[in-house]
Amino acid sequence: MNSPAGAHLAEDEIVDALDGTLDAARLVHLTACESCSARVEELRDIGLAAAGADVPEPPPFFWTQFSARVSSAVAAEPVPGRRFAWMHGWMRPAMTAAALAVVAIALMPIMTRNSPPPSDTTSSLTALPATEIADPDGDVFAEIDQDEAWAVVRALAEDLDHDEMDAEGVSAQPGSAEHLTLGLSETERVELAHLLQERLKDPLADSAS
Amino acid sequence: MSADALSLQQRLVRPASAAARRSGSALAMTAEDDATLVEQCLAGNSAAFDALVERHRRQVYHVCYRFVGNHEDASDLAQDAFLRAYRALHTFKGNSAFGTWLYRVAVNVCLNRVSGKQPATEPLERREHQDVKGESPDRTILRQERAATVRAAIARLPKKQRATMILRMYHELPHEEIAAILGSSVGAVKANFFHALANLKKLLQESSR
Repeated sequence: MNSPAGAHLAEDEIVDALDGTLDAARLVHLTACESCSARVEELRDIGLAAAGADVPEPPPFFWTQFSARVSSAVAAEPVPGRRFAWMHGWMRPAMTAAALAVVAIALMPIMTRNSPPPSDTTSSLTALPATEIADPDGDVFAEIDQDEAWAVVRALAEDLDHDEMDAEGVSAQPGSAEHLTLGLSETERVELAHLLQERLKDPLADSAS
Repeated sequence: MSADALSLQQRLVRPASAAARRSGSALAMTAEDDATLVEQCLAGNSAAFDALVERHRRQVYHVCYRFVGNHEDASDLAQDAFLRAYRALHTFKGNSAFGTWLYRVAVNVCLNRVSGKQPATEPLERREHQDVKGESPDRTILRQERAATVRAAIARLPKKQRATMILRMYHELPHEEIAAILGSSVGAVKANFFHALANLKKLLQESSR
């Protein structure tokens, strides 16, 4: 921001003058103005005095000890980005598919309102004991805990970081997937697992497209 | 580059640069840039992070020392900065130099951990470990006293002014990079620098009375 040519230098202009980057027109003012020149020189002297204040060198053994301490602290940490890194291989498209499937399932009640139920949704992955299927009076949490299909989704999603998923373009509120799936019927969960199973069979489908 | 840092890099490049090793070229070893070390670290090679620490520990420690004015706190802050950097390493996208990114981490650690109170600076006898060749003992003491006074005054500046002053004056970062590190505008950085110098002048005048 430049001040009018005749005005005294503003704060940022004084810093520009110290840096030697002051606008030529303002340099004319600085040269002619004793007040501004004195101010710049005064701050320049302070800067020079400060510049000479070196950080004292720590004891010679310090650096070795420092590196050892950092190395030790880091050794106790998981590999950075590990939670995300595991998705970089075949799991990543599967995870994307899982996220999309959750969205699809959320829409399923609307989509299937006027459609017949799927003719064949059974699979080795999703087969449930008959006693556990569609018990409207059962505890939904206990039922889901025992549900192999949900276990697949849970295993895939439990280590997801919301910020990382958001950065990948998969936006959802924390807990929304759980909220959605808790509301699914047994048929819908089977369908979700079926979709996931299909995706896991062909994990590179996303990459190829 | 120190001998121990070089030997560490030799260990790091061994799997990838057999030809360079055979030729005994130290130059090829120094070609291991920060981005490569970051990649290796994310791949699970913790020695790569050790190399990054050895490369940048002095700069990070200096930032922290100037923030707090004493060795113990600076050492703790620097260690914390590296630990946080390690945890967030997967977020380093290479848009800036690794050193700049590390400055950002270190400054944030300092800004978050350092209270608004005046930090405890060290007594003079613990501050200096360096001699200047050909300098008389009296002159050395005078120089060290001046430097200690300036460092103590800097450590009393408001936090943002302190950070701006340190990064600009001692690490010679351009205003734009400082603005990125502090999450502010270039104009605000210049204003902070101006006020830092003006306040430093007042503090030095007070301490000389």
